[in-house]
Amino acid sequence: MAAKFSKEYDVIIIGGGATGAGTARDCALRGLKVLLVERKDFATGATGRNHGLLHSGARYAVTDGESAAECIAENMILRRVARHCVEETEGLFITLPEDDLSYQSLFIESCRRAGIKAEAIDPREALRLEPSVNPTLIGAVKVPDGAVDPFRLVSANVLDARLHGAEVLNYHQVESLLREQDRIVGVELRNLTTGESMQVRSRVVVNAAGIWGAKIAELAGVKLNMFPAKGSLLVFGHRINNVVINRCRKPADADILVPGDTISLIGTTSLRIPFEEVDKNVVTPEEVDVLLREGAKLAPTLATTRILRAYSGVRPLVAADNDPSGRSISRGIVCLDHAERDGLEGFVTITGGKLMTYRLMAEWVTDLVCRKLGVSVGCTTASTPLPGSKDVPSRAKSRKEFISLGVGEKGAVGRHGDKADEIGFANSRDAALVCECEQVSVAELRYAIQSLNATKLVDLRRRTRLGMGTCQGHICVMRAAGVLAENNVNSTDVLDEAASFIQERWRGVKPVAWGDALVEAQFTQWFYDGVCGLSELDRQKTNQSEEK
Amino acid sequence: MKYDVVIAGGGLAGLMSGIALAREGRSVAIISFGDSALHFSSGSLEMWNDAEGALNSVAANHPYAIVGTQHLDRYSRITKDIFASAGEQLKGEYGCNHLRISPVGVLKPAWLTFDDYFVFDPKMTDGGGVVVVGIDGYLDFYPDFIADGLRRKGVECDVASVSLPELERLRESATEMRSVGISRLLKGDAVERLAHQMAPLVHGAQMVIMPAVFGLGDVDGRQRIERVVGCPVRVAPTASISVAGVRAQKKLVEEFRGLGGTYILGDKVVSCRIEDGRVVGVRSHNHGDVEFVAKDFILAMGSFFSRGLVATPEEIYEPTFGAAVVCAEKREAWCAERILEAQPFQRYGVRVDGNLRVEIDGSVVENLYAVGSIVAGADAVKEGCGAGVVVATALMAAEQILGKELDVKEMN
Repeated sequence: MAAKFSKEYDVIIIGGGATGAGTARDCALRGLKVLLVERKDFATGATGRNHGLLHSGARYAVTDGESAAECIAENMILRRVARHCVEETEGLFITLPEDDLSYQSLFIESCRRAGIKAEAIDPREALRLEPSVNPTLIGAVKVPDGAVDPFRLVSANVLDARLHGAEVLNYHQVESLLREQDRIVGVELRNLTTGESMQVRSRVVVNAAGIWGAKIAELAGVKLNMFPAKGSLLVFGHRINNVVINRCRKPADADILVPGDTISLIGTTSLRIPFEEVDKNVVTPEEVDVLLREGAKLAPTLATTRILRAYSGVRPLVAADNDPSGRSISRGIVCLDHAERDGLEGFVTITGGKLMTYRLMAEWVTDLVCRKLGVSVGCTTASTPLPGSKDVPSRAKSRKEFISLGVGEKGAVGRHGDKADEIGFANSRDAALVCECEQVSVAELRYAIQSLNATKLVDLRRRTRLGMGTCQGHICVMRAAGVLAENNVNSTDVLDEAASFIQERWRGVKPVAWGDALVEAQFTQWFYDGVCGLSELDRQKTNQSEEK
Repeated sequence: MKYDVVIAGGGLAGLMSGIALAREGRSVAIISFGDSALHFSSGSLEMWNDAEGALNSVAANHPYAIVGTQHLDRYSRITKDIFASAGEQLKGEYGCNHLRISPVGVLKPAWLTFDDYFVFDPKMTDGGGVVVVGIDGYLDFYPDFIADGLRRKGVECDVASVSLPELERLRESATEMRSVGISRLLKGDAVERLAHQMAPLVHGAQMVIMPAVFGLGDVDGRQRIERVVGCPVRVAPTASISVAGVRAQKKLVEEFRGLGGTYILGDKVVSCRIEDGRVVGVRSHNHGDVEFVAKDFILAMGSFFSRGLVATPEEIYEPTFGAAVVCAEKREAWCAERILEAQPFQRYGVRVDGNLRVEIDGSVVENLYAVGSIVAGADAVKEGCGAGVVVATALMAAEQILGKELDVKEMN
């Protein structure tokens, strides 16, 4: 029996990726009563499984001018409103001897048409700008690419939504949509931690579930023609390049190398997969080989750089409505009012698009929701900075002040911007480093637990970069488990989570398990199983419950 | 440079072979890069996970089968004797595992354990409380997990925490607040103050458990705390570097040198010269053209972790001698889906004959023996046989070279 949930919202948003989080924020800023639900943790779908590239739009300039123009506009907006999530690296589009140099002029012309500043530079200057770039390049164009941290971006959107009254439930799955005649009036949710169900009502339900949006639409009895397209990437053990490197040719596999915090990323492949496989996230040996081979053409040093892990995401590509075959697929934004399209009131879908355009997607769908609710407040997200980017952090007003901070404080300021002011470093215990690779302190973890809806070890990774560095959690996962245990989480539960954390990291390491990665894997198993006995704990618990 | 035996690799395996040979008057050189699995020791050596610890049957290609399980009891006694001579007492014996505690509170079977480490005694359940004492801001020791583990066994348990101003300095660098850094500061007056801070917190306890951070400062730090708090103080393992392991490695190296052995640290064997099916000499990274010549050679370079084996996307190989390796050909088969289940790669290693001699280019090399975790066939993690295989193969190789069985000295 589902427990009745008396509360009624203006809008329930399904999906805690960038689009859903951005929509929750936009709706909350416009004064709506908002509930955001996510079946896992925030940014666990395609949002957290891409390059983290702050596209200039140049990549799409030749093939899709409209997307390119949207990208550059959003690029400039995010530099302002999400300053603490963005790194202004610049980008290069290089032409290699095997590429057609004449493509360059078409590329530059297309960029200009889309409003993207694209400037051809001398290959020697490109090498000075980015010493890791393939020295055999015969052409280079400079564009305003950058890097964006999708986890931080989503976290800031969720936080701001909550600061404006939105309620947020992660680890809650939508079991069904509540329907009265031709109207969706709410959702039935299951709390995946406790197993309890509840019904929540709202005037509009927004489907922002990315590729899983097709399933949500099914629950509403409407058909969305979506095509899962898997893209795989490799993470390298250190930051190889400081400037984004792209190939100046028609978009293809493994032609973007992006720096992000302490690492670099090469991607992606592109492979249609059946719907049954969208949750699998398997990176095949063939994909790894392609990524390495093509990646080394952008920056030859990749061939000898340690690979940390591999991962894949699934793009939610949508077929144009008048083409049921799916041949004309758009990477553009799709915003559907199912009242108009299917005669179903109270239900809208926002999909397609890309991480870069999440804010614009949120704006479009919030406009639609407001029209339905008769609300006339305009969108302000293009000019209102996100929490973290509102101000200069008070403990680092100047460069001199920043330099004098402790390592844990520096990490916190870098990741949380002005919100780092709320992270107290009262005593030496607070400043103790949990993650040495990424400089995450006890205080920052506590802040994530208390203020950023992090309840599990894996959530702490997405909120703080815990375990994302060179050691992939070997040193820090137990430390973090210790901190979580102190925050009143049952110790055997925490150890289960430590095991899940290590397993989650292993899933990414396994496709590239040779060289140093295999060395680390041997150590990981030897320490966590051999020395610590984590699998033993699992067995002891099973035996105990069998005895009961 | 001429020796009776040259050993490539100076961890537990190389040292056990080296000490056993040096005790018999052989001139031995160990060339060691400096890594040792002992540096990450749990405080215990393991022979076999089975609760009894006695081995009756193992797979035919397991190193224990090559060694012969009938020798394990003898090797066990020799191991204790070698450690004791080096100044490190081990408790436990072959054939009756005891339970040690892991950093996260799991009780695991062990064969031999360093004397100052906690081992579980069923009598503890009615002997009063145990207090697990952590150090403030030191994140590699988990009092809550250890206390919960003991409570699951029915032991009454509490946690407490102490702080030391000396340790504040460590925090200035990101990587200093580790067991080794703390251990170096635990000397003189600091130990006294720590003990007096602990005394009221642990009053009336039957035992105190502290992180294993003793041994690199004052040698008697733990005993001095015992005297002040008035009950036994035992240590439990920490994550990251194992102080007791570092301490034991140091003592074994000193023991080897004391017996006249040459321990070359920070160097690595990089190539060998083979004539008529025998290794005649090896070269090292630092010594360039100067060859190490010997009658016999031992390969004790460890597994992947110490680079004794190397994996590329295409193959797994043994880089120093080019010894034949037992492994799956395709990389898809090297690893299992779940990190905590049995991993095929753990059993990979060099192929050895019945006398532990390796194979190069299709034929057995008469005077090159493989010992330790580089020998194929064992899963140290799942079988709990890491240290057991290391010492058994190390001592067997020494006996092969000596042409006789090693003596067992009975200890008092």
